[in-house]
Amino acid sequence: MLRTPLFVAHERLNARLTDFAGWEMPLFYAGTAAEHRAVREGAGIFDLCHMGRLELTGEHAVSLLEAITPSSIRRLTVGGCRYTMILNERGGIVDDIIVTRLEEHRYHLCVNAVNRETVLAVLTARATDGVTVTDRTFDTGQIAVQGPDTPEVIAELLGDGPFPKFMRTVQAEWQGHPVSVSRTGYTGEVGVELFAPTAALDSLWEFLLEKAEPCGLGARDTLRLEMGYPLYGHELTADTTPPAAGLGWVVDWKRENLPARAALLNDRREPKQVLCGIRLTKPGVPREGCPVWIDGQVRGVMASGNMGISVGGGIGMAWLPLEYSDPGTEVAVEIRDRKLAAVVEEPPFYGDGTVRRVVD
Amino acid sequence: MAESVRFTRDHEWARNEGERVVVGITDYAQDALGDIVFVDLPEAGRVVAAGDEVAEVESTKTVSAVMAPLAGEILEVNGALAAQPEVINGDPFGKGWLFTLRPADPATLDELMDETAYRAYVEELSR
Repeated sequence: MLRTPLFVAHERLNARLTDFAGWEMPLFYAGTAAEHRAVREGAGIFDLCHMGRLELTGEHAVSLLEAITPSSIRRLTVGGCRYTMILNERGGIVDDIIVTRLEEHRYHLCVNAVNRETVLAVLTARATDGVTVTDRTFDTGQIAVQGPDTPEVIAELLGDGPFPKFMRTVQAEWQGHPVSVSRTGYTGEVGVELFAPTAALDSLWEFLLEKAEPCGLGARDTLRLEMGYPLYGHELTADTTPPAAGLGWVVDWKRENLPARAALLNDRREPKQVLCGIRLTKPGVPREGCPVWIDGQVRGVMASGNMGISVGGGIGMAWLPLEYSDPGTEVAVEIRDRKLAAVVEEPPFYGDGTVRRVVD
Repeated sequence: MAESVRFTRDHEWARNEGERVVVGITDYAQDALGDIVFVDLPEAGRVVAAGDEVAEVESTKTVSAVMAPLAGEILEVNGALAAQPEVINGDPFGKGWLFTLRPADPATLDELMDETAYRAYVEELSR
């Protein structure tokens, strides 16, 4: 199994470890609930070195990115970050990624660990003259700092520089190493993701640990679920298009040369199934795979589910036919041998997130 | 009958308190589960056989069935766990008890592992 450069630090903190996409990662340290609350109320740090970090350079890099994503990449300014998706020829989602324009002709892609090799293969196969693809996963690392206290936690790292605006990146320096500070995350709170050379990670982690709680993948999952953020392999698959996943907003419909345009338009007009938020109205915990009953029939299935630690009840996401997807629709989730009452709800389930807070 | 605590291979504990036996999950079980967020308890009055699934303990990462360690009738359940299931993590042998039962045959309790045997069993699992 792969280990991140911070593995020894996790062992020192007595982390409970788990296998995630072939990486031996912290599931939790003190406990998922406490870590979840630390992020909602203070600040937490996550080792995200397992995620894929790929770089595209060259004047045709922008064309390559627009050939495989439905976004307008050329409108992204230097220092901007964009959430988008790599699509297959049917419009199915190969991966959901964040593209950051670092320089005029230099782009950074943060991709899911489970899809790193697939994305790398797509990029390499389609790279023409004037585009260079570099896998930076193993010579750089990634640490997320998330929670309302993030600006104080990273103040020393930023020095005199400004805290980045939402979906923007700024450059900082840590002990002589360059650090990209991106205002991105997966928790619904104000926060950043730090990208740095491997050599800088240990001291960066120790510095952050003085002011923030270490958090594992358990809290990462309960936090993202409360916001209704999708997770690849659960809400998003190669058989799902962005509009069917309720993420049609990532598509720039004005683009003439959209990849898989016909399939995307078709799912926009009449999606067969749509991804819906589900909140139990009785005590219980829905899980992936639980059938969803409406009007006496199974109409859908849970894609994800867990206890909402901050919302105080069972929540999740489910695929439902369009006619049953309106917020307020009464459903029942089958959990083992029981059917528990639930209701369709438009995420986020947790409405007090600080993710877009303006930081001066 | 002297007070005694016994253990099952499924990591339940059962403590003899005169007429009734108090049942919970062990420290090993709560630690393996992680943060407990939901507990489903049986109805009082239910008659159960040894090994019957009578409760569910659910953590942020998984769900685990709790078996009746011996045959009998469910007397009381720990209602405080509905609001504070995390008490099981903090005090699995005390405030985190799940239910009590009146054993059909009190002697069957002695057929379960005693503390020494259970410790050895857990050590074997952890190896």
